[in-house]
Amino acid sequence: MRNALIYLAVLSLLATACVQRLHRTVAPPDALNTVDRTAPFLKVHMDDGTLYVFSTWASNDAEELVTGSGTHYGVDRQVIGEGVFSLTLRDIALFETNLARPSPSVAALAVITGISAAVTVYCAMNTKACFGSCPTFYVTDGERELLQAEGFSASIAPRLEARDVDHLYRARTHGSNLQVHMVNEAYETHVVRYVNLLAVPRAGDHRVFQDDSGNFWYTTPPLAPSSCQVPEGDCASAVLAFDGQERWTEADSTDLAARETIDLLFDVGLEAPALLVASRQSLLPTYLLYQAFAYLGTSLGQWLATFERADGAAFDATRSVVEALGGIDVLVQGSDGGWDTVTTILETGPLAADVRLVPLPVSEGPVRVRLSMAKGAWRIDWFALTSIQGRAEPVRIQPSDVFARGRPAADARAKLSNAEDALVTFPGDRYTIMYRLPGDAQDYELFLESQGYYLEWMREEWVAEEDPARAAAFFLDPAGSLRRLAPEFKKVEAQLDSAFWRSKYAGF
Amino acid sequence: MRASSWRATPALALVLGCAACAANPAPRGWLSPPAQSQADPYGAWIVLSTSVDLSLSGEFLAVEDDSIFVLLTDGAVQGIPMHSILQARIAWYDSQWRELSLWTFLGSISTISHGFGMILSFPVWVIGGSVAAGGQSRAPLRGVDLPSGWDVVRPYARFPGGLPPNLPPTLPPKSYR
Repeated sequence: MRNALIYLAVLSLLATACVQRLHRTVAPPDALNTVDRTAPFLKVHMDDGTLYVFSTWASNDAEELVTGSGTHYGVDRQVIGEGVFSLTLRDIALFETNLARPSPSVAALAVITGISAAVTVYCAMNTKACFGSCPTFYVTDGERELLQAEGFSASIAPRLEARDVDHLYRARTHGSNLQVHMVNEAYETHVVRYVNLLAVPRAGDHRVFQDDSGNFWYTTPPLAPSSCQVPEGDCASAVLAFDGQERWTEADSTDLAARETIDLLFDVGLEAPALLVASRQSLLPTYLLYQAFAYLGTSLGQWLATFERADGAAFDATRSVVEALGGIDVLVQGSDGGWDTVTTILETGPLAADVRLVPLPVSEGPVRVRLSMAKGAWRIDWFALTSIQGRAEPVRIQPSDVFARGRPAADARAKLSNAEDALVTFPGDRYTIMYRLPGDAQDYELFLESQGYYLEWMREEWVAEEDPARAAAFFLDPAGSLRRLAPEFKKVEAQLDSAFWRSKYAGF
Repeated sequence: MRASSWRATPALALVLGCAACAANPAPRGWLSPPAQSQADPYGAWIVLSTSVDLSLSGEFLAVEDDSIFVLLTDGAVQGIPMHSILQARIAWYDSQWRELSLWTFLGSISTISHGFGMILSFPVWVIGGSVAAGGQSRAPLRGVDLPSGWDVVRPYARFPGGLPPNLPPTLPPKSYR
């Protein structure tokens, strides 16, 4: 790619200078004063068929003479002589001039090149914002196909292959068939072991949510917080519903691990309270991952191989970076007024928000919850309080049909149905997976269960930042690295989101 | 875009980038680029379709009242009656449109670096580039609006003032690489 860009730049310059259009003008002998004197050559066609090509010339109107320096050609266009010649107008058939001018086609292409190069440079300068996604899953919300889940986002190597369950909270479909579009939208290779649907029959107005242990629970209708206090004021309006409107702040300018708190107040007392949190990561963790890849550069493959050989140190080093940034700590106020940690939410992925249920200790009166997280690392879509009613058991449904770009893909279906096999997808691949539910989809709470891993494609721009010393520091001193990288991250933070979504390899 | 179609992108860019271009009828190398053509003493390349011969081409020598004169590649000066000419077209310099096509091709390839933006930038390159290269390829071509349109192309003949007296029946053809 870099070579193509260099060739493009060189060719653009050469073409701008060389690709021209020619404009010819002829004039009879008595119209000598109309001849374009800016033309580099004057061609004088004589009545006898010979031709003079002058590079410099002058006219004497009084004597009706044209004098010039150049070449005299015969009718056969062989050179008769070179030098200074004086010609009388009565022997001349006509004058001819030719002017080479820059082609307007070059101007048009130069404009396109300028804009295109600006986009290329922008993308190259924001390489940590390149779209990375793991498999994305689109399901209709009743109006459009909505990005509702991303599978196994943390599984960036075979050893990290993991199962992931995402709540299709906003899926709205009729009938007993559900259609899920699985897309590879980034420069990645996805190895998808399976994609199943977990369906839990709804009971009345009770919705079903999943906790961090993977258990499903029937709950009462969610209640909105009466207050949501953040450093910048009240955030209740932003977290009122799971609607895509999110609460988010920028990262700290000196330490990317610097934390902030959100204080929630639910002015009710419930029998078995539980907090509902719909959230996704910001692009900060993605930036850090790509920065780590950049520091590792050409040794990334070796590092991944070490990782695959079950080197415990490498595994721990990776985890230490994740732990330094942390997740969303959920705390409740104890009887002594202090804050006790209930759990930490670590839902990975910057694309699709997922809902988690966090059981809270039973307390009398209003429920106060504090959330603590790294500034700028999380986007919160929804907070609500609910009461757990009882355990729910999902029905696991395997794909009934799989289509690749509208055509039946039995092979893909077979791979997704066999846990020993896996479907491998490449940038731009898109599958439509069909599921047959036991009844009408509206009567079920739906979750998507996927397992697999993915491999990021190394970007040429990243290798340029290869720095073994900084790579070592990144893993050995993650807290220090998060401080050192803060100024660098702040330079690109404002454009990160738009650059990220723009850099998708293929869109759905 | 699938990986397979991603691999087809260069070929697609090349094909579309040249799709709107008009072929120059002159033998390759016979015409000079604009800068050199300013001092070229020869006439344009002409291609004629006549009712006698299917196609005839050579250096455009002159337009007379009832005939067109062409220097054939074997050096013979050939007069063709105007009334027998069905179609005529000249090319008078090398437009170098291939450079623009290559420019378009490389530009199209460079949009791979635009990520999702390629969906917009790739067609802009292909359409803009093919229009630009097509326009450049047609710039040195002139068609003759028969039967009376010869005055338009007369300035591109070797003898724009008309055939000189005592012109030999054969002339050395223009040498070219």
